[in-house]
Amino acid sequence: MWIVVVGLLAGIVIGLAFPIIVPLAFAQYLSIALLAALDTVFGGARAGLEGKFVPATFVTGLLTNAVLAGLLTYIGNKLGVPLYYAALFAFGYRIFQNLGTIRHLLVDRWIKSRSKLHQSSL
Amino acid sequence: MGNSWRWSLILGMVCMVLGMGLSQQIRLVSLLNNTTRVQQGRILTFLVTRTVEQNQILENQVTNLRTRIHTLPPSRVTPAAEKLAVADRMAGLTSVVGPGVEVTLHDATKPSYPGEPPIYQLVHDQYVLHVVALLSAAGATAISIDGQRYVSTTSIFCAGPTIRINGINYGSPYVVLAVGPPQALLTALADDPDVQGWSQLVSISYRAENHLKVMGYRGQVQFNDARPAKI
Repeated sequence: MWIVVVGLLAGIVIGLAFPIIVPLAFAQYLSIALLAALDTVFGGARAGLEGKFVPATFVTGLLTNAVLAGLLTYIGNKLGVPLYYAALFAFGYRIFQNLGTIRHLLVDRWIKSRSKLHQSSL
Repeated sequence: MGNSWRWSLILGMVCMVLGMGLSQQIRLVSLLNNTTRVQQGRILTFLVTRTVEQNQILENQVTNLRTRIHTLPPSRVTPAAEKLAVADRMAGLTSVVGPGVEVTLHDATKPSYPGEPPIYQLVHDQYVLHVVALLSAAGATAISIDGQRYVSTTSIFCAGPTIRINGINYGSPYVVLAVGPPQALLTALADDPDVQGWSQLVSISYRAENHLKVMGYRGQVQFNDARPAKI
């Protein structure tokens, strides 16, 4: 778990300290790729809580989601179809769904630990 | 063990890339917001510079025309110039000095009464118009409002919280200078019921001056539609 935090912090520091900023034309692609990545992160957190976390799935999911989201946005721009919004909607929806599941799992775990505590004290 | 270690390393690297992307995006968005603000500033600066340049060009034109007049033979210029000097004075294009009164209209400085609408606290265009009309009727021969000479084409009109005089917006306080018989002008102001009433709402003060200077009108005079009628 610590490697995630360390990697994230290192990335943020590098990104802040980097002398150049991503060109303006990439802003849209970067934002949707980030959203896709965030979706995968929440998915990963949920899988971790369910005890089903597989690093390979997580890493490939993160990369392919981000790349595909950017690519779809690009194709949408070329076709004149705002696929950007479709991706925005889909990923946003999934993020909230995953958040809900994570909350459920955490609350379940908390209630279980409390009842266990209660039984042992009896 | 080796396998899971490798995977956590990859996980860390991927997270690093994610963090980089995040911070870059945040920087980009803040840069975007800044640039739009900077652009607006640039546009305004450009407009101001262009107006200043245009002013310079027009002033150059005026100087050129003046020098051309000087090169003309005096026999041709002098009679016209004499007529023009009289007309300029009548039209309010020259500065004049003399005794008169100075009227200052200031937005209300006192706290508003309970339930008093804020609109009562402001000096309105009709206050200024009325003061100018009073002074004019009482015998003032030259009037200026905030340095804008009152001439035949002068307009005094409400422009939001400001008043537009000769096409230029002015804010409170409004200083009206009038050259004329001081006592008559003062009496006209003091006896007027409207001025008395408005003095309860906003601050209106006036005093006689022995030596007032009223600037000449410096704006453009263009009669696009009005032509001299044939008598």
